[in-house]
Amino acid sequence: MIRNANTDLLAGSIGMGLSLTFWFSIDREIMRLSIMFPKAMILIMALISVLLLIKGFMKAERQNLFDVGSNLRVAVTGLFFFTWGVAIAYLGFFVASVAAIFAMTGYLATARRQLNLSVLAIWLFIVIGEVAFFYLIFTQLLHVPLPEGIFF
Amino acid sequence: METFFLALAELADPAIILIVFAGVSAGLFVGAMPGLTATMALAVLLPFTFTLTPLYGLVALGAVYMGAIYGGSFAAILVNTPGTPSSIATAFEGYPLSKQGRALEAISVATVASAIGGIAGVLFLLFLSPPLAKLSLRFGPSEYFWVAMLGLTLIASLSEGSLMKGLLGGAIGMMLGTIGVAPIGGETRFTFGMPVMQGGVEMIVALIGLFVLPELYNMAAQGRTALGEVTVDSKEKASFWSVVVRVFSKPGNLIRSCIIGEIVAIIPGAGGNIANLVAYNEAKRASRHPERFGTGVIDGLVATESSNNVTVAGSMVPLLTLGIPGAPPDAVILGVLLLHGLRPGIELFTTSGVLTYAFIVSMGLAALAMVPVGLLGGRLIYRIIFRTPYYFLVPTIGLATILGTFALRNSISDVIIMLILGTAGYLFKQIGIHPPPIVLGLILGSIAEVGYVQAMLGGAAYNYPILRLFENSLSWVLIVMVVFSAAWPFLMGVYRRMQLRRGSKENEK
Repeated sequence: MIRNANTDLLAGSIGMGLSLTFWFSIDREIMRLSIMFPKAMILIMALISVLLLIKGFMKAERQNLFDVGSNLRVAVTGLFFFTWGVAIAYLGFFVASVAAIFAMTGYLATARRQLNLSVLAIWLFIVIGEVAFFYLIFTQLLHVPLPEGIFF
Repeated sequence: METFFLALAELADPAIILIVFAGVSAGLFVGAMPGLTATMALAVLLPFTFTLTPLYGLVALGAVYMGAIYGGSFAAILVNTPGTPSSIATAFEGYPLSKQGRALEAISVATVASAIGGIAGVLFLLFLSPPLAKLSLRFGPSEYFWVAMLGLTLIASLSEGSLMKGLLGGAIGMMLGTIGVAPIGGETRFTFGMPVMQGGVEMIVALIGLFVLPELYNMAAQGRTALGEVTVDSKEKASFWSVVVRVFSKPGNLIRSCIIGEIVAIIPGAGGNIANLVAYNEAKRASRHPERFGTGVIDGLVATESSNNVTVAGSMVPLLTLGIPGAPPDAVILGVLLLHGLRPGIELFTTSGVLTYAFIVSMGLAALAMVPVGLLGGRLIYRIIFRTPYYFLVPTIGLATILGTFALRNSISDVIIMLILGTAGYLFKQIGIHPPPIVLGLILGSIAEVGYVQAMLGGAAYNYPILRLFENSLSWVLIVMVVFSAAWPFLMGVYRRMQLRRGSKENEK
């Protein structure tokens, strides 16, 4: 938990970092027409960032960061999402989604209640039913081919 | 006129009626859940419209939007927590009514007022859009550039937090929009050596990530969504017709609130969240008994609910005519329009007139559908909401989000980009850079780039081609508006300080 940070300084630094990243990735051989607008935008972004940095040093806006609820739960939820996104390509949509949703539900539920095997078994069936519902809607009704991976 | 009647004929399709009712129910469900916004409802339900015809897809999204804004009033009235930011002021009068055992009456009033507001918004859209679309024909590259800048400064100054951070968010969005192939010039830029970036950041991918994921992270952090269940007195009766009579008994309040809603709706970035507060404040000022406000005054409820529902269709005036979303949910509608090859402007009202008018009128149908859905199904939907635990909700919305992103181009890379943008959006939000300016920057970026580059080409004969941007009188009108909207927060700050100083001087005397 970070408390009472100077958000102007943080925002200005991020803006400046992004401006520099975009500026140094400009291909030197690119035609003027294709880069004219991005160059102008990078300069505007850098200008806004400088103004934010100056404000951060002179009249900073301070704000509490990450002070709502559990940051660990946010980090683990993010990890679940990314693992889920990557696993779809390897395990297929159905298997990856059942595994990810079941694991995520179980993890998030620990914040509110105690779990036992019978509850988890019921939840597994609910999750399989839910994923199968979406899977069938997308593949059969909307004709969207979902990734098959090593299973189906 | 012939186009309009053809559009009405299109709506005679029973499937449309079914879609309207399903959309309003789905929107009501999401909107009634504290923490889930109308934008999120549209972004999550977006993939289900991909394989529908353009009309069915747009009708579904319009109905979801209408239902979601109305749904926000349920939580505001029953548990004093606005379901969406558009219902903040609804809680001021709705919850006191609930505490007096008049919850059903409050819900009925909110339903009737929302339906009237929704229909008023449709009428505003029908009558204001065509002339504005014709005016857009006078817009050249420089004007479009300034319109894009105006949209950006307005959303930066009106959205939460500081103007500078809003502008930085807009600039980040514009830079994200420059990744990939240049609209004029045709070369690829900023791919960072990754071939997958050549296609750029798909607007809908960014929309889904930036609007949905931060909310899911918030829910995960708090470990909850809904609140404790409230009991509604089943013996309490609120006759529908008596409620209709009460709402119409003060037409001045209703008309004023609808006009306020429309004025706010036309301003890009200012949606129902601002309209409901302004309308409530004006209702209070105009009342003979302002001191009673906050104790369960029906006029206050009518003002907030009619004004916020006006913004649903009303905010589409700048969207359909100039391509500038009036409110964040409109960005999703714009994504669907572009997905089906429909470009905002006069063509929407001529070449694609039947589709456009059918979409507009369907929102009126959605407003009417809110009455039976809200009054008959509202309580059932609300019970389901309270019994859905957050630990099922977060992964389920995540599933719809991942599916929707994947279905767009059958691309896992899009899913990863969506997750990265959504996570970045959550982190940016912590330091005061909110998602709406980033998304608006992404949308307006391409309009601004085309306008800017074409203006520079047109000004090649000048010593300073940039002067082309300042040549026309219409450009100057827009420039003045840009400067005014950027200066607005500073002017308001100075005004507030002066008021405070005056107040303290009077106190000293």
